[in-house]
Amino acid sequence: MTDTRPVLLTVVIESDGPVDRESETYRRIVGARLRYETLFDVALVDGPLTTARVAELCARLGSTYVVFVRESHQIPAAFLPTLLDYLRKRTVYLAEPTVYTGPVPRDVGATRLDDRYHYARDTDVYGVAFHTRRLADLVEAAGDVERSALYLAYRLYWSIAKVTPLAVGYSYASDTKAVIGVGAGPGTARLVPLIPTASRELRLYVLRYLVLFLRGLRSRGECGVGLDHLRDLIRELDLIGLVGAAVREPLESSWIRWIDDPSTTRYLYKRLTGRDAYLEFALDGAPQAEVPLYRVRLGDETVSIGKSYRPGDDRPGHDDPAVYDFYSRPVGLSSTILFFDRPGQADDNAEHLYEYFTAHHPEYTKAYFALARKSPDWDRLERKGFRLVPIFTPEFYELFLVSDLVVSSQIYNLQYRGKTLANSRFVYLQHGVQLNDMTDWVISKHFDVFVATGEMEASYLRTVAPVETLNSGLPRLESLARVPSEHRYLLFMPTWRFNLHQLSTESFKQSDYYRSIDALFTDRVLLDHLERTDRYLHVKLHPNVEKRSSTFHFSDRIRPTDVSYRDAIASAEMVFTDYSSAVIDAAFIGTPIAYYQWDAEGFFREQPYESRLDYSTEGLGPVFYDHADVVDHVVGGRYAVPDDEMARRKERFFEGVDPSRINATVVERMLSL
Amino acid sequence: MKKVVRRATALRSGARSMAYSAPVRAAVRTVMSAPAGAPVRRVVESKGLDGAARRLMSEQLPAGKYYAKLTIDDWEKHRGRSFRLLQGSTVVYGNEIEPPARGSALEYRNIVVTSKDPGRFSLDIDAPFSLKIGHGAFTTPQQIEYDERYGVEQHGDVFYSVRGNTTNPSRLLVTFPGFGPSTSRISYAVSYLKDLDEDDLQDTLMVCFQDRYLVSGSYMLVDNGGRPLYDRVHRVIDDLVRRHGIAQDDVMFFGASKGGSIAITYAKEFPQAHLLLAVPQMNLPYYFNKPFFKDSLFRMPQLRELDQPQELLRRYFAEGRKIDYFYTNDDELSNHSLIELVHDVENLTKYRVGGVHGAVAKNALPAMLGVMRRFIAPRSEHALGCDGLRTFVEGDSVRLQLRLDDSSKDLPSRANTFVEGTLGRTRFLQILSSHDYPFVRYMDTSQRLYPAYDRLVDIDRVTVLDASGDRYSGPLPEKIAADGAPADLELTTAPLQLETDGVQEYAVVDDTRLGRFRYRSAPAAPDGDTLEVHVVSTMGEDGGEPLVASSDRARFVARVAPRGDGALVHLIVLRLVVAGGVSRLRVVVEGGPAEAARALQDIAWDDVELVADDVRTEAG
Repeated sequence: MTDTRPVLLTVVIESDGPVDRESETYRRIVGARLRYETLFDVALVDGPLTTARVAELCARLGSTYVVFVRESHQIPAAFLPTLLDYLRKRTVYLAEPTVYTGPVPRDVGATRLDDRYHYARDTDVYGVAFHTRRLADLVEAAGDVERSALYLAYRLYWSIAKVTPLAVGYSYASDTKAVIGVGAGPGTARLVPLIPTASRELRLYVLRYLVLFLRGLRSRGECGVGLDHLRDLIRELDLIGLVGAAVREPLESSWIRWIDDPSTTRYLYKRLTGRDAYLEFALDGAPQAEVPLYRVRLGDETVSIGKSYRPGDDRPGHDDPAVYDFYSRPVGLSSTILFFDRPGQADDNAEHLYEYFTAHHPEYTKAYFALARKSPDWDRLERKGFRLVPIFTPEFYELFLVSDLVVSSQIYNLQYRGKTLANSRFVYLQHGVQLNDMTDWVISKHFDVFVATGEMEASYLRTVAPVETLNSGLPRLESLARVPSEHRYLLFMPTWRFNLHQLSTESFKQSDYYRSIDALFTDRVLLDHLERTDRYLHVKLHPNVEKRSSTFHFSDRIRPTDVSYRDAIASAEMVFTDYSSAVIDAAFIGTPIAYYQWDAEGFFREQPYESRLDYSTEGLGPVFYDHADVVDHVVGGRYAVPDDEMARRKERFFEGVDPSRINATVVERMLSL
Repeated sequence: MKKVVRRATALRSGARSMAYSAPVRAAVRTVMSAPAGAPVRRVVESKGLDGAARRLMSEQLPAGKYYAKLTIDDWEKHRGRSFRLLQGSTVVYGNEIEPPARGSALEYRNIVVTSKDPGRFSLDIDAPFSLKIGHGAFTTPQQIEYDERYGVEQHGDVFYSVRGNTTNPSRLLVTFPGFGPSTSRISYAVSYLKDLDEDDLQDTLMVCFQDRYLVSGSYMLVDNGGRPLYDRVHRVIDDLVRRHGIAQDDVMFFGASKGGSIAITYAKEFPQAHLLLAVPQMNLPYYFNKPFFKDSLFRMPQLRELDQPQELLRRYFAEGRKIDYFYTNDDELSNHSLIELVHDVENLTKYRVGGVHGAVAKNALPAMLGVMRRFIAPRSEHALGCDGLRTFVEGDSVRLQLRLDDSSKDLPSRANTFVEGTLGRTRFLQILSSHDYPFVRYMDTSQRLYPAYDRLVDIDRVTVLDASGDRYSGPLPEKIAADGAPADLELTTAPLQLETDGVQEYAVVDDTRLGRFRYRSAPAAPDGDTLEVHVVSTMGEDGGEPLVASSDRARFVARVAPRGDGALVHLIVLRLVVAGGVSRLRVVVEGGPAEAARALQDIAWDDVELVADDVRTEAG
């Protein structure tokens, strides 16, 4: 940390470990010194910023304002100059940028500061210039709240009802909070001070924070915050009035309603064919729901959350003609059916199922496939005769509205004129097989059918979705086959690490990830083997690494490939990865696979989800942790030797899947909805 | 000195009487009927005499009658209460106090009185008031502006605007107005139908009559002096038809509410004409028995003595006239249980819209405009697909939800959707509401089908009527499934009689409820002032005991036996007493369901005697 001196603003940079002085974020901060050197100072914090550290910083810093910037976040070059130009002319409680989770748009001023913005905005402390002394006052009064709630606490404490963001952006460069939520330490008894406000934006912020807190609680299982505090918070800030319009997380939406009014314990969650799924909330001691989902401890009380299936006649509004029931007519010949994979890329389960469906059921004349018009797959599919519709266009939404069924490998929060995936039919095909425990995510989603591959995955999914799970196998697998190739190829498909975001190229090259992979690419033994046996190692880099592709030492024998995953797998002699589930496709068609997990110990600790698969005992290929071992496996050609143990594992893994009837099974189910 | 003042007053009074004499009025009408901007009118207007001229132009009342304008101050504390204006001890006007337009005084104009002395008048509520009394009718600047905007012209004592093809029309569209708000500054509106433009009317002459009589109209039955208007108005219509050589079946009469009743009246001598009606009042005395009218129109014997709309309409039904009739079941006062139940009438199309009386014309405007435009010129027919029908049975009624096919996205937005069927030779359409989803139509809580009299088995189409007159129609995908609800009852629409020949059936509809009765009625003392009704449990074909009044004041005596739960018995009793034209009602409850006895407690009649000492209820 630099010496403190009386400047206008201190920029506190938080990093995990030594700061990356070549990162764009760091360079843009210090670059502002050219014009504003006398106005700001930089302080570095190694390790996570906590409320206590904030308090300590506030006590020590001499600057009028303080702004916290996390190294992995994105700031435009104008960020600091804009803050400084604003702060130097006035005395304010705070100044804040326009906050994003994705890339900062070119025209920040065009961002609509509406309810959607306020609900989606990450309200952590980052990017906001606080008045240092007032922040010190706040942490003195409310030092018990989590750092992630300090911004909210500050606004409540100082009654800052409305803040107009500056026309400069700040991006958290990640929306993982939406997946993992926020936590509260065991000693934390409240989220924010109970100070009433009529400010809609502030209430929306608190509501979102509450949603994220409950989301995190599902994973963590316990916290020191009691139900009474949450109920007081909901009532004091009249959050119930905002839930219906703002909250997009259905489980948390019901949970908040239940906390507010525990006398209503059952909440409609998803319409299904013939019956509906409900969420049930109960305090400890109450009868368990049909499908127990969570037991969560809040302070001294335990809340159980479960799921139940009830007849359609129990549903409020089922007998009201004003309420249209998208299940009121079966999927029939006049039905519109909408298929899609990723907007920019097809060639996944929806494409393969669409192709099967239209070929085998031409009597259904209103099947559409949605795709981005700019997708490279558009022309290919058009040539194949697909009935294409540009995805997320008005035409797409009109089709969604009239459709009787949506089938996709992607889950989007589709909403149009009151139609959602909660009140209409949706078949979720997935992109792959879930090797991690993603039940928190699965529970949060609306689907009528969840396609599983094999009994192992199906039985895991049935614990939370017993009615919806279909063990048919992924549609794309049915038409996948090994394709003889002119040359012999091996295929390596490393996946991605969240902590590599925002690293400078130099720091990236210092990472274990880069060094382990590049060591493989430059391994003399491996290269000699490939040369000697006239083989090639094709590398399918994760899309997030594509931009750093040039940092790797590719060669004539080891080179990146731009063919599709499907084609790359089909023509490979052997496929290996670190953790990617894409290798399951290879295993399904009998191609030997292997895992090279150089960072196994740390990898699962960093991931938002826990691994469900014990790779060493259940994986469909051998697992290697050392560079030399994986090279030896390849060079020694052991992958080509039949392995009874792997054959047994594969049989167990794919149990229940009829390779020749995958699409037929899915179609039978979807037409019966 | 006092003598001089009195003499001057008498002179002014004499001059005023001369000014309001018939020759002067006629001369002024000639002057003021000159086009706007004409020299003679400019002179009058430049001297500020146009107000006086308008008063002079107004209808001349019989000797001894005057126009009065009542202004009530400090009305807020009486809001919602009835009041009466008395001349001496005689009620000359009454109403229920409603707030006036913002910034305006609470005024009631053109009350006809027989004294010029304001001191002889009093109000029966404790509110300060003032009266202006004169020979000329009162008006407001807003009314004057309105008349100019819509081209309302005075022709003798008849007022109307004319537009469209005024030179060589092949069709004639005649409209009559409804009531405005009772405290409006524009008491006399016209049914101008702005949606119909000059393109629509290139071959059609449109005449919009104004009911410019009494405080807010007299159903164009009488003028301010109480003299019948029929001949004067009929002559206007007849002249137009003859002058332009328009065939009778190219004439359409239209009116909503009061306008509908007037349209029925003036269609009398045009049996080939097309009649387009919305919520007309069928029985005027019965309709006037409510706070707004019971101390005004209800007290006018002329309105009782003329043919009631329902009598004319029954005649039209028998003649097979072409009639499109928009109504709601929640309008018992207007309907008098005729349109809800009538069936098997040739050339009658019934459109049940739902909602309250005042919402019908507004909610069904696209369909009504469509009917007009189809009268004006041929329009297109289109196919409409319906993919789904869901039936929701709720007690004795049924609601539907339809899913239209994908072509529904191209339907015009200004249209009404109906399910359509037949009631014998009558076509029947029940409106549905639009939904957030463009392909869904449904019945809201005010829109229902009644298996007891709607013959669901014959409702088999969905029809969209566009304001342009285009029609989209197609079959329902399946039958309406109304299992469990009572279906196809034989319900009579015969009028209620005070002198019956044997036992009669009668049915009353009030919104969702249906009351069915057997009854007998007979005259008693001709000079009696009472209608005596005996409510009994049952009535065989012979009618039971002889009809004998227990009161010697009874002019009529009736016996009524409710069927079913006795719902609506109070309404048949009320209809009997209104029909009897008597002031007293005596109800002797001898039996019948408990519900009937309860309903009779709340009967809406001022002077009622309920004798229930010997009540034998069936339940409770």
